[in-house]
Amino acid sequence: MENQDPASQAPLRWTKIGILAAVLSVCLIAIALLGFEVSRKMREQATAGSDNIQWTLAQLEVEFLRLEGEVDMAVTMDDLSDVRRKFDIFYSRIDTFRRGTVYSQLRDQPDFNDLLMEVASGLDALIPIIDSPDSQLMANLGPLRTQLTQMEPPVRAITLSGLDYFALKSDESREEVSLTLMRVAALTIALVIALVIVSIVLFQLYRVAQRNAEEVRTASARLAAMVSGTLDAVIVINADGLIVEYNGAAEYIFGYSREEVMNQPMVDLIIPVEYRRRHLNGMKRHLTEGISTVVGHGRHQFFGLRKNGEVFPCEFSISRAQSASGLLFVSFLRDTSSQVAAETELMKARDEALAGERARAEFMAVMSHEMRTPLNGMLGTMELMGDTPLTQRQRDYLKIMETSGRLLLHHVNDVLDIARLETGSSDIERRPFDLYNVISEVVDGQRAIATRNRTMVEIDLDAIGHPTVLGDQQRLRQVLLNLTSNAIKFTRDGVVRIEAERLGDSDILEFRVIDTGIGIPEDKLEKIFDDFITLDASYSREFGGTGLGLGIARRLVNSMEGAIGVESEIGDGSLFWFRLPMPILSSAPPPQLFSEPAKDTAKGLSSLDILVVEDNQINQLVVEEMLTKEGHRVTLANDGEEGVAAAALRRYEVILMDISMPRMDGIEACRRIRAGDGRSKDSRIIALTAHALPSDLEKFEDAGMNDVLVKPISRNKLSKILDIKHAEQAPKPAAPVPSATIDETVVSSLFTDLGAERGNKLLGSFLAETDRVVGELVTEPEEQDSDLIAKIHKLAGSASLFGTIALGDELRTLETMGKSGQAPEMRDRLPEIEAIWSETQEALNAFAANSGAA
Amino acid sequence: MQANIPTRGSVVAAVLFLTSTLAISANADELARPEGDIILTVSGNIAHTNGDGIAEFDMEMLEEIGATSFDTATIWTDGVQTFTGVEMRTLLDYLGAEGSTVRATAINDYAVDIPNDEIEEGAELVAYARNGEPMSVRDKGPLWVVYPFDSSPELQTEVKYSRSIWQMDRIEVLE
Repeated sequence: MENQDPASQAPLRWTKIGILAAVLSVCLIAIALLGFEVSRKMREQATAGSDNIQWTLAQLEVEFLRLEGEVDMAVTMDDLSDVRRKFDIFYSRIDTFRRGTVYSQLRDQPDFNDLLMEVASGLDALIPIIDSPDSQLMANLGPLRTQLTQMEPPVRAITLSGLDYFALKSDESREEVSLTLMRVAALTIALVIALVIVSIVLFQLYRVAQRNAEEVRTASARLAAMVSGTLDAVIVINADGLIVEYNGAAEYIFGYSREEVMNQPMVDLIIPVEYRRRHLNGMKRHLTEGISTVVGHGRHQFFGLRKNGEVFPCEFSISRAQSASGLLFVSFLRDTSSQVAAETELMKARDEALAGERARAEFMAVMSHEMRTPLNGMLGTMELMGDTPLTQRQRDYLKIMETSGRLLLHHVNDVLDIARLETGSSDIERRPFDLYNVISEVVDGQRAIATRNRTMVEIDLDAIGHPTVLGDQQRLRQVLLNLTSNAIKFTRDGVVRIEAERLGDSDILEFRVIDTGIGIPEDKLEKIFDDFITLDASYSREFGGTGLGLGIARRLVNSMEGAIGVESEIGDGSLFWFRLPMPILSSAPPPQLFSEPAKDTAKGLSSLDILVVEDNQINQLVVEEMLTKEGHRVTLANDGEEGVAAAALRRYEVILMDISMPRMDGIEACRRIRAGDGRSKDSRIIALTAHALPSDLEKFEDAGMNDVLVKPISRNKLSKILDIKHAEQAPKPAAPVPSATIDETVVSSLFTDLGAERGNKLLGSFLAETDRVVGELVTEPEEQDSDLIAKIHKLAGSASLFGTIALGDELRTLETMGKSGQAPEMRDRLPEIEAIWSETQEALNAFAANSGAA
Repeated sequence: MQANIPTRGSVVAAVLFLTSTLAISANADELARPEGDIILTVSGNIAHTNGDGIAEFDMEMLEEIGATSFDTATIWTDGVQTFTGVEMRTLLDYLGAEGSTVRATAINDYAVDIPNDEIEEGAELVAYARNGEPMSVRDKGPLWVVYPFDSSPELQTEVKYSRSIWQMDRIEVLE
């Protein structure tokens, strides 16, 4: 029992042992009681009321016989004193039987009592004889002897009866003792059996306990091996925050040895100073309220403190355990500093790679721009050359040059498209448009080539009619164009068919471009959408092609969250399909919101004085030629400085300003013209650039430019921009006629050019800025006239960018008044802009809301 | 010696012991001779005698040595009895008895042995009167060794009962 292993201290076992102990106690108590009983019986037997009764009884007869003997002797010896003495002794014995309490039970026996009374009365009758004088007694000895002889049988009977009784009593008593002893024996046997059982049970318990102890030992050895072998630091603290376990990995990670930290407060050792309070609070909260965001909530990122003071990132988990010595918190902790360093490294590498990728895309974009500028010059010049008298041969050459040029431009545009798509700079538009129009425009553009290939191009929209759909029409047009031109390219004497169909009830439209061309080998189908894939060298030579068309189509479809694919049979033709999320808004085409400007509007324009500031001789030539053809008067300047000088000398209605020029660039030139006091300081200045990035636009605006013309320049673009600007520029009548608040085409083109997000942002800052400036102009106008006019001018410049016709007109009117010596009148009129501005604001907000909703 | 005895009846044993010792010293080794019927003969290893190595007592002599009384029931009588007599211890000391065992013998030669060192004050009483009367042989006299049985259950044992010898007339002090 002493070997009882602590591991067996399970409550159940102790219950069993308790029961056994109780049984044993009961046995012991029973034996003790019985032992006491036996001892009592023994005492009873040995002492109490018994005396030596048997001896007394036997002695009765002896004394009687002695009495008889004395009487007999007295007859012969003549001595009577002994007779009297023997009589007295016998008498006293009978008397004792009669009166002694010890014989009361005996007297209760009727036989005995009768006999006793018989003898006693006999003796009493003899007393007068005994007590008589010697002579008398002597004479009566004979009768005395006779009397005594008669008494013999009862005296004997008394003795026998008494002895029988006490023998019986003695037997009974023995019986009882024996019974008690038997009971004791039985109980002792029971006790021994119980003890044996207890021993067996205890032995079993002991063995179980030993086995458990062995298991516990094994388990804890295994655990200890795991804890000491694990790469994670294992730190166990108690509810007081003292460290009670600390493994080898922890020594390695934190630098403290086990001896240094045991029973020390953990918080002071391994938690960085700035987190200690937080740790203690969290611990306190957990202990008092039982709440924790850490304990039992998996892995957490944190910082640890090494012995050398170094703080390092780590990852840890904490679980709680109830042990015999109280609550414990077990923490597994991993040093993640190298992991974090690796992650940082990886992120840096990724950022660098991304930056490299962006740089590449930007390089491509810039290169393309740079290539487009001279190409534009070449093509423009060719166009102009076509208008001059040429021989047929020259005309043929020119045509070849022009075809090659356009092809080259096409390639450059392709590359630019890819660059743009990859930098992700363009937003997806979602606006309603006429699907049929887009498809038919694409087809119309390609029909000439198709005809040359004797190929029919068909459109089949029977499945959906002539609907208005919601989506990005530019991108759709580009995809369709690429697929269609590709189909036409590889089809001779066949049919190219464009179909569109709605998939079930979904918002997905499936477009199919089917041709009866040469088809695509099966093993090439997978690669067909990769970049720079040209399957047939002969066709490539014949028609050109960068092999980027389908790659661009794939990118565009993906950018619109669609899917693209192809099926093909060699010799039978191909089927290109793509699916786009493109909800059908209505089955009818959208109403015409703005009437298209009449094609001949430009013809009706009066001629303008235009200054062209452009360092590139070719471009100079092209632009000058185009403008002259439209009937405008053109002055040329070769760089910014010349431009500024020219603008000072003469009033031009429009200045076309190239941006990148030697000596002084367009932005600086523009700024100087605006800041100077030259005659053209208020002219419309239009930037000519191949870069139309939003950041550029801001710069242009800041410099005081009114508009931007993105190269390549075409006659149509030129006339369009001059048309609008000139119309606005037309001098106003003295009484202002009500005009449209905003020109939505300007704003929407701004949005188209910049993208919805950028446009909205710009619009937002314009609204805020203008609101502020208008407020200042009305409530606290600048005291210096020139300052005030400059402010009005600047506001007018930015106002025109957003097509705010009414506000722009008013501001320009004010500006004109100020500059023409009517400053007081100008100041009087200032408050009017407030009302105009609020109208403008409403209109712009409404526009933004509409375009945003679309 | 008689003159020094203050009264009969209940006198504390210590006083008795003292006075008897004084009496003994006054009378050297010789005890007075009994004048009445001899009721007790003490023999054996005793210092004081009045015969040939024995001490004989009549009732008056015993009464003078001691008169201790107590009330008790016995198993041999009916009801509570008052016993008066001289304590065995007092008697033995009076005689200068030195020995291991005291053998008391009755008229009918019934004898019991009592170890000397078990004889104590307040225990064995050599009673010469019951209920104020001297005891006849018929009445278990002349002397009856009794214990104050009622005073302690310790006394109610077979041994004590067997030592309660009646009709005693001899005492022998054994070496």
